[in-house]
Amino acid sequence: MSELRTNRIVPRDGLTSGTGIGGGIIQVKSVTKTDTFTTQSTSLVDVPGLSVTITPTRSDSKILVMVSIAMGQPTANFSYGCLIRGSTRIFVGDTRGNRANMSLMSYDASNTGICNLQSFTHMDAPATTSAVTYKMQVRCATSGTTTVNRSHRDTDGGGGADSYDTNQASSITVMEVSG
Amino acid sequence: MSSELRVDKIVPVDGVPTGGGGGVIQVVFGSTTAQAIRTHPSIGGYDTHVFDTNLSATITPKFSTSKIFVQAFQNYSFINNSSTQMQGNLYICDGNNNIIDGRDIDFDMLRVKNQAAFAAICPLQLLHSPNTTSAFTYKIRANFYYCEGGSSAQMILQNGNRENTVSTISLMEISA
Repeated sequence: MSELRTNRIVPRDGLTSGTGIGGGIIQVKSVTKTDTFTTQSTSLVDVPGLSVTITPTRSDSKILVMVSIAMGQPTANFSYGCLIRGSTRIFVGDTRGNRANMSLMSYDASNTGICNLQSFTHMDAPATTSAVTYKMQVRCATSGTTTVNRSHRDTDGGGGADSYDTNQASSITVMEVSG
Repeated sequence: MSSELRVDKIVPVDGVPTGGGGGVIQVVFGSTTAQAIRTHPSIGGYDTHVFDTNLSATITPKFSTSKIFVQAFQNYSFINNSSTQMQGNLYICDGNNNIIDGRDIDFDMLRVKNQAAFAAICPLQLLHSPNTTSAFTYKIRANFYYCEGGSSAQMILQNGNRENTVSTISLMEISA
Protein backbone atom coordinates (compact mmCIF):
# COMPACT_ATOMS: atom_id res chain seq x y z
CA MET A 1 0.00 0.00 0.00
CA SER A 2 1.24 3.46 -0.87
CA GLU A 3 0.08 6.83 0.35
CA LEU A 4 0.74 10.26 -1.07
CA ARG A 5 0.60 13.32 1.18
CA THR A 6 0.74 16.74 -0.44
CA ASN A 7 -1.11 20.05 -0.33
CA ARG A 8 -0.95 20.92 -3.99
CA ILE A 9 -1.41 18.90 -7.18
CA VAL A 10 -0.86 20.57 -10.53
CA PRO A 11 -0.04 19.39 -14.04
CA ARG A 12 3.72 19.11 -14.63
CA ASP A 13 3.82 22.29 -16.75
CA GLY A 14 1.64 24.26 -14.36
CA LEU A 15 -1.91 25.47 -14.54
CA THR A 16 -3.43 27.28 -17.46
CA SER A 17 -4.03 30.87 -16.41
CA GLY A 18 -7.52 32.27 -16.12
CA THR A 19 -10.47 32.29 -13.80
CA GLY A 20 -12.17 29.07 -12.85
CA ILE A 21 -8.97 27.06 -13.34
CA GLY A 22 -7.60 24.62 -10.75
CA GLY A 23 -5.44 21.55 -10.40
CA GLY A 24 -5.94 18.27 -8.61
CA ILE A 25 -8.17 17.60 -5.63
CA ILE A 26 -6.47 17.70 -2.23
CA GLN A 27 -9.31 16.90 0.14
CA VAL A 28 -13.04 16.29 0.17
CA LYS A 29 -15.67 16.80 2.85
CA SER A 30 -19.37 16.03 2.68
CA VAL A 31 -22.54 16.12 4.73
CA THR A 32 -25.86 14.43 4.09
CA LYS A 33 -29.14 15.44 5.67
CA THR A 34 -31.77 12.70 5.85
CA ASP A 35 -34.35 14.18 8.23
CA THR A 36 -36.94 16.76 7.23
CA PHE A 37 -37.24 20.49 7.78
CA THR A 38 -40.12 22.91 7.39
CA THR A 39 -40.26 26.69 7.53
CA GLN A 40 -42.79 29.43 6.84
CA SER A 41 -40.18 32.16 6.98
CA THR A 42 -40.01 34.70 4.17
CA SER A 43 -36.42 35.46 5.15
CA LEU A 44 -33.59 33.02 4.51
CA VAL A 45 -33.09 30.56 7.38
CA ASP A 46 -30.54 27.80 7.91
CA VAL A 47 -31.45 24.25 6.97
CA PRO A 48 -30.34 22.37 10.10
CA GLY A 49 -27.75 19.72 9.38
CA LEU A 50 -27.02 20.95 5.88
CA SER A 51 -23.69 22.68 6.39
CA VAL A 52 -20.10 21.55 5.98
CA THR A 53 -16.83 23.11 7.10
CA ILE A 54 -13.51 22.77 5.32
CA THR A 55 -10.10 24.19 6.21
CA PRO A 56 -8.10 24.85 3.01
CA THR A 57 -4.47 23.79 3.18
CA ARG A 58 -3.41 26.79 1.06
CA SER A 59 -4.92 30.23 0.62
CA ASP A 60 -4.74 29.96 -3.17
CA SER A 61 -6.81 26.79 -3.22
CA LYS A 62 -10.29 26.84 -4.67
CA ILE A 63 -13.30 25.08 -3.25
CA LEU A 64 -15.64 23.22 -5.59
CA VAL A 65 -19.02 23.15 -3.83
CA MET A 66 -21.58 20.56 -4.96
CA VAL A 67 -25.10 20.88 -3.58
CA SER A 68 -28.19 18.70 -3.90
CA ILE A 69 -31.29 19.76 -2.00
CA ALA A 70 -34.80 18.29 -2.13
CA MET A 71 -37.46 20.97 -1.71
CA GLY A 72 -41.24 21.16 -1.78
CA GLN A 73 -43.97 23.74 -1.28
CA PRO A 74 -47.77 24.12 -1.53
CA THR A 75 -49.38 24.35 -4.95
CA ALA A 76 -48.43 27.52 -6.81
CA ASN A 77 -46.14 28.75 -4.03
CA PHE A 78 -42.53 29.68 -4.58
CA SER A 79 -39.65 28.42 -2.44
CA TYR A 80 -36.11 29.74 -2.74
CA GLY A 81 -32.71 28.35 -1.76
CA CYS A 82 -29.37 30.07 -1.40
CA LEU A 83 -25.78 28.92 -0.90
CA ILE A 84 -24.06 30.69 1.97
CA ARG A 85 -20.34 30.95 2.79
CA GLY A 86 -20.09 31.98 6.45
CA SER A 87 -22.80 34.63 6.43
CA THR A 88 -22.37 35.74 2.82
CA ARG A 89 -24.78 34.76 0.07
CA ILE A 90 -22.80 33.35 -2.84
CA PHE A 91 -23.80 31.77 -6.13
CA VAL A 92 -26.75 34.02 -6.90
CA GLY A 93 -28.00 35.48 -10.14
CA ASP A 94 -27.60 39.05 -11.32
CA THR A 95 -29.90 41.84 -10.17
CA ARG A 96 -32.79 42.24 -12.60
CA GLY A 97 -35.98 44.14 -11.84
CA ASN A 98 -37.65 43.06 -8.61
CA ARG A 99 -36.58 39.43 -8.93
CA ALA A 100 -34.98 37.69 -5.99
CA ASN A 101 -31.32 36.80 -6.47
CA MET A 102 -31.10 33.16 -5.44
CA SER A 103 -29.28 29.91 -6.13
CA LEU A 104 -32.43 27.99 -6.95
CA MET A 105 -36.22 28.02 -6.91
CA SER A 106 -38.85 25.34 -6.42
CA TYR A 107 -42.34 25.80 -7.85
CA ASP A 108 -45.16 23.73 -9.21
CA ALA A 109 -48.44 25.21 -10.45
CA SER A 110 -50.63 22.20 -9.74
CA ASN A 111 -48.91 19.68 -7.53
CA THR A 112 -48.42 19.84 -3.77
CA GLY A 113 -46.94 16.35 -3.69
CA ILE A 114 -43.69 17.33 -5.34
CA CYS A 115 -40.24 17.28 -3.75
CA ASN A 116 -37.70 18.48 -6.31
CA LEU A 117 -34.12 17.28 -5.93
CA GLN A 118 -32.17 20.19 -7.36
CA SER A 119 -28.40 20.27 -7.77
CA PHE A 120 -25.71 22.75 -8.67
CA THR A 121 -21.97 23.35 -8.39
CA HIS A 122 -19.98 26.44 -7.56
CA MET A 123 -16.22 27.10 -7.69
CA ASP A 124 -15.39 29.36 -4.77
CA ALA A 125 -12.13 31.09 -3.90
CA PRO A 126 -12.28 31.85 -0.16
CA ALA A 127 -8.58 32.95 -0.08
CA THR A 128 -7.94 31.68 3.43
CA THR A 129 -6.45 28.82 5.38
CA SER A 130 -9.01 29.26 8.15
CA ALA A 131 -12.07 27.08 8.46
CA VAL A 132 -14.80 27.96 5.95
CA THR A 133 -18.42 26.86 6.37
CA TYR A 134 -20.77 26.34 3.45
CA LYS A 135 -24.49 25.90 4.10
CA MET A 136 -27.87 26.14 2.47
CA GLN A 137 -30.59 28.56 3.53
CA VAL A 138 -34.19 28.49 2.30
CA ARG A 139 -37.23 30.75 2.42
CA CYS A 140 -40.76 31.15 1.12
CA ALA A 141 -41.21 33.86 -1.49
CA THR A 142 -44.18 35.65 0.08
CA SER A 143 -46.22 33.03 1.95
CA GLY A 144 -46.78 29.31 2.34
CA THR A 145 -44.37 26.67 3.52
CA THR A 146 -40.99 25.48 2.35
CA THR A 147 -40.17 21.85 3.02
CA VAL A 148 -36.84 20.06 2.76
CA ASN A 149 -36.61 16.31 2.08
CA ARG A 150 -40.42 15.89 1.99
CA SER A 151 -43.40 17.16 0.05
CA HIS A 152 -45.69 19.79 1.53
CA ARG A 153 -48.74 17.53 1.59
CA ASP A 154 -46.90 14.71 3.39
CA THR A 155 -48.40 14.61 6.88
CA ASP A 156 -47.06 11.21 7.90
CA GLY A 157 -50.71 10.25 8.26
CA GLY A 158 -50.23 6.88 6.63
CA GLY A 159 -53.13 7.21 4.22
CA GLY A 160 -54.22 9.03 1.09
CA ALA A 161 -52.10 10.21 -1.79
CA ASP A 162 -49.35 11.48 0.48
CA SER A 163 -48.54 7.95 1.54
CA TYR A 164 -46.82 7.60 -1.83
CA ASP A 165 -44.62 10.64 -1.25
CA THR A 166 -40.98 10.05 -0.44
CA ASN A 167 -38.52 10.82 2.29
CA GLN A 168 -35.52 12.22 0.46
CA ALA A 169 -31.99 13.33 1.30
CA SER A 170 -29.94 16.45 0.65
CA SER A 171 -26.19 16.90 0.65
CA ILE A 172 -23.28 19.31 0.32
CA THR A 173 -19.87 18.10 -0.86
CA VAL A 174 -16.85 20.38 -0.94
CA MET A 175 -13.56 19.64 -2.71
CA GLU A 176 -10.34 21.59 -2.21
CA VAL A 177 -8.93 22.11 -5.69
CA SER A 178 -5.28 23.12 -6.00
CA GLY A 179 -4.87 26.72 -7.11
CA MET B 1 5.50 22.70 5.49
CA SER B 2 4.24 23.15 1.98
CA SER B 3 4.62 20.42 -0.60
CA GLU B 4 3.67 20.40 -4.24
CA LEU B 5 3.07 17.50 -6.54
CA ARG B 6 3.63 18.08 -10.24
CA VAL B 7 2.51 15.14 -12.27
CA ASP B 8 1.47 14.00 -15.69
CA LYS B 9 -0.85 11.31 -14.44
CA ILE B 10 -2.41 10.06 -11.25
CA VAL B 11 -3.45 6.42 -11.30
CA PRO B 12 -4.22 3.78 -8.66
CA VAL B 13 -1.33 1.41 -7.94
CA ASP B 14 -3.08 -1.36 -9.85
CA GLY B 15 -3.93 0.81 -12.85
CA VAL B 16 -6.97 2.61 -14.14
CA PRO B 17 -10.31 0.78 -13.98
CA THR B 18 -11.88 -0.23 -17.28
CA GLY B 19 -14.26 2.44 -18.55
CA GLY B 20 -13.15 4.89 -15.92
CA GLY B 21 -10.18 7.03 -15.07
CA GLY B 22 -7.61 7.84 -12.43
CA GLY B 23 -7.00 11.03 -10.49
CA VAL B 24 -7.99 14.57 -11.34
CA ILE B 25 -5.16 16.57 -12.92
CA GLN B 26 -6.93 19.86 -13.48
CA VAL B 27 -10.34 21.44 -13.12
CA VAL B 28 -11.99 24.14 -15.20
CA PHE B 29 -15.16 25.83 -14.04
CA GLY B 30 -17.54 28.02 -15.96
CA SER B 31 -20.80 29.75 -15.12
CA THR B 32 -23.28 32.16 -16.64
CA THR B 33 -26.16 34.34 -15.62
CA ALA B 34 -26.77 35.53 -19.17
CA GLN B 35 -30.27 34.68 -20.31
CA ALA B 36 -31.00 32.77 -23.48
CA ILE B 37 -34.57 32.87 -24.74
CA ARG B 38 -36.40 30.93 -27.42
CA THR B 39 -39.97 31.83 -28.32
CA HIS B 40 -41.80 28.85 -29.76
CA PRO B 41 -42.53 29.68 -33.42
CA SER B 42 -45.49 27.34 -33.97
CA ILE B 43 -47.78 26.64 -31.03
CA GLY B 44 -49.23 23.17 -31.44
CA GLY B 45 -46.33 22.17 -33.66
CA TYR B 46 -42.67 21.30 -33.35
CA ASP B 47 -39.47 23.36 -33.41
CA THR B 48 -36.14 21.79 -34.37
CA HIS B 49 -34.03 24.90 -33.78
CA VAL B 50 -31.11 24.27 -31.41
CA PHE B 51 -29.56 27.27 -29.67
CA ASP B 52 -26.77 28.14 -27.24
CA THR B 53 -27.70 28.44 -23.58
CA ASN B 54 -24.62 30.64 -22.98
CA LEU B 55 -23.12 27.95 -20.71
CA SER B 56 -19.69 26.76 -21.83
CA ALA B 57 -16.14 26.04 -20.66
CA THR B 58 -12.86 25.24 -22.40
CA ILE B 59 -10.14 22.90 -21.24
CA THR B 60 -6.74 22.06 -22.69
CA PRO B 61 -5.99 18.42 -21.84
CA LYS B 62 -2.42 17.65 -20.87
CA PHE B 63 -2.63 14.26 -22.58
CA SER B 64 -4.60 13.05 -25.56
CA THR B 65 -5.43 9.92 -23.60
CA SER B 66 -7.06 11.85 -20.76
CA LYS B 67 -10.78 11.75 -20.24
CA ILE B 68 -12.85 14.79 -19.40
CA PHE B 69 -15.57 14.50 -16.83
CA VAL B 70 -18.22 17.04 -17.75
CA GLN B 71 -20.77 18.02 -15.14
CA ALA B 72 -23.26 20.77 -15.92
CA PHE B 73 -26.25 22.13 -14.07
CA GLN B 74 -28.48 24.01 -16.47
CA ASN B 75 -31.25 26.22 -15.16
CA TYR B 76 -34.26 26.27 -17.45
CA SER B 77 -37.82 27.45 -17.40
CA PHE B 78 -40.93 27.29 -19.54
CA ILE B 79 -43.32 30.24 -19.49
CA ASN B 80 -46.68 30.48 -21.19
CA ASN B 81 -49.76 32.68 -20.96
CA SER B 82 -51.89 29.64 -20.16
CA SER B 83 -51.34 26.28 -18.52
CA THR B 84 -50.30 23.73 -21.09
CA GLN B 85 -47.75 21.08 -22.03
CA MET B 86 -44.26 22.10 -23.11
CA GLN B 87 -41.23 20.01 -24.05
CA GLY B 88 -37.56 20.70 -24.61
CA ASN B 89 -34.13 19.16 -24.91
CA LEU B 90 -30.63 19.90 -23.65
CA TYR B 91 -27.41 18.76 -25.27
CA ILE B 92 -23.71 18.68 -24.44
CA CYS B 93 -21.94 19.90 -27.58
CA ASP B 94 -18.41 20.69 -28.70
CA GLY B 95 -17.25 24.13 -29.79
CA ASN B 96 -18.52 23.49 -33.32
CA ASN B 97 -22.03 22.69 -32.10
CA ASN B 98 -21.66 18.97 -32.73
CA ILE B 99 -23.79 17.05 -30.26
CA ILE B 100 -21.63 14.88 -28.01
CA ASP B 101 -24.35 13.78 -25.66
CA GLY B 102 -28.06 14.02 -26.17
CA ARG B 103 -30.86 12.09 -27.76
CA ASP B 104 -32.58 12.74 -31.06
CA ILE B 105 -34.29 16.06 -31.24
CA ASP B 106 -37.74 14.54 -30.99
CA PHE B 107 -36.91 13.05 -27.62
CA ASP B 108 -38.47 15.38 -25.08
CA MET B 109 -35.88 15.33 -22.33
CA LEU B 110 -37.70 18.08 -20.45
CA ARG B 111 -41.47 17.96 -20.21
CA VAL B 112 -43.97 19.89 -18.15
CA LYS B 113 -47.73 19.46 -18.19
CA ASN B 114 -50.49 21.83 -17.07
CA GLN B 115 -47.95 24.55 -16.35
CA ALA B 116 -47.91 28.24 -17.18
CA ALA B 117 -44.61 28.76 -15.39
CA PHE B 118 -42.11 26.11 -14.51
CA ALA B 119 -38.47 26.37 -13.46
CA ALA B 120 -35.92 23.73 -12.55
CA ILE B 121 -32.29 22.69 -12.81
CA CYS B 122 -31.26 19.89 -15.14
CA PRO B 123 -28.06 18.00 -14.32
CA LEU B 124 -25.93 16.72 -17.21
CA GLN B 125 -22.94 14.41 -16.82
CA LEU B 126 -20.58 12.88 -19.33
CA LEU B 127 -17.18 11.14 -19.31
CA HIS B 128 -15.73 12.09 -22.68
CA SER B 129 -12.52 11.31 -24.55
CA PRO B 130 -11.65 14.33 -26.71
CA ASN B 131 -8.40 12.69 -27.92
CA THR B 132 -6.55 15.98 -28.16
CA THR B 133 -4.13 18.23 -26.33
CA SER B 134 -5.62 21.31 -27.97
CA ALA B 135 -8.18 23.53 -26.34
CA PHE B 136 -11.56 21.79 -26.35
CA THR B 137 -14.82 23.56 -25.67
CA TYR B 138 -17.89 22.02 -24.12
CA LYS B 139 -21.12 23.96 -24.41
CA ILE B 140 -24.73 23.35 -23.51
CA ARG B 141 -27.35 23.88 -26.21
CA ALA B 142 -31.12 23.67 -26.01
CA ASN B 143 -34.20 23.05 -28.11
CA PHE B 144 -37.78 24.16 -27.34
CA TYR B 145 -39.31 21.18 -29.09
CA TYR B 146 -43.05 21.37 -28.50
CA CYS B 147 -45.71 23.61 -27.04
CA GLU B 148 -49.26 22.35 -26.95
CA GLY B 149 -51.28 25.50 -26.25
CA GLY B 150 -51.41 29.13 -25.26
CA SER B 151 -50.38 31.96 -27.53
CA SER B 152 -47.05 33.03 -26.08
CA ALA B 153 -44.54 30.36 -25.08
CA GLN B 154 -40.90 30.80 -24.14
CA MET B 155 -38.10 28.53 -23.02
CA ILE B 156 -35.73 30.62 -20.95
CA LEU B 157 -32.33 29.62 -19.63
CA GLN B 158 -30.95 31.28 -16.49
CA ASN B 159 -34.32 32.65 -15.48
CA GLY B 160 -36.71 31.01 -13.08
CA ASN B 161 -39.70 33.31 -13.70
CA ARG B 162 -39.51 34.74 -10.19
CA GLU B 163 -35.81 34.47 -9.52
CA ASN B 164 -32.45 34.97 -11.23
CA THR B 165 -30.13 32.03 -11.18
CA VAL B 166 -26.74 30.78 -12.28
CA SER B 167 -25.94 27.80 -14.48
CA THR B 168 -22.59 26.07 -14.09
CA ILE B 169 -20.30 23.65 -15.86
CA SER B 170 -17.29 21.80 -14.42
CA LEU B 171 -14.64 20.04 -16.50
CA MET B 172 -12.24 17.65 -14.80
CA GLU B 173 -9.29 16.14 -16.67
CA ILE B 174 -9.11 12.54 -15.52
CA SER B 175 -5.91 10.56 -15.97
CA ALA B 176 -6.29 7.56 -18.25
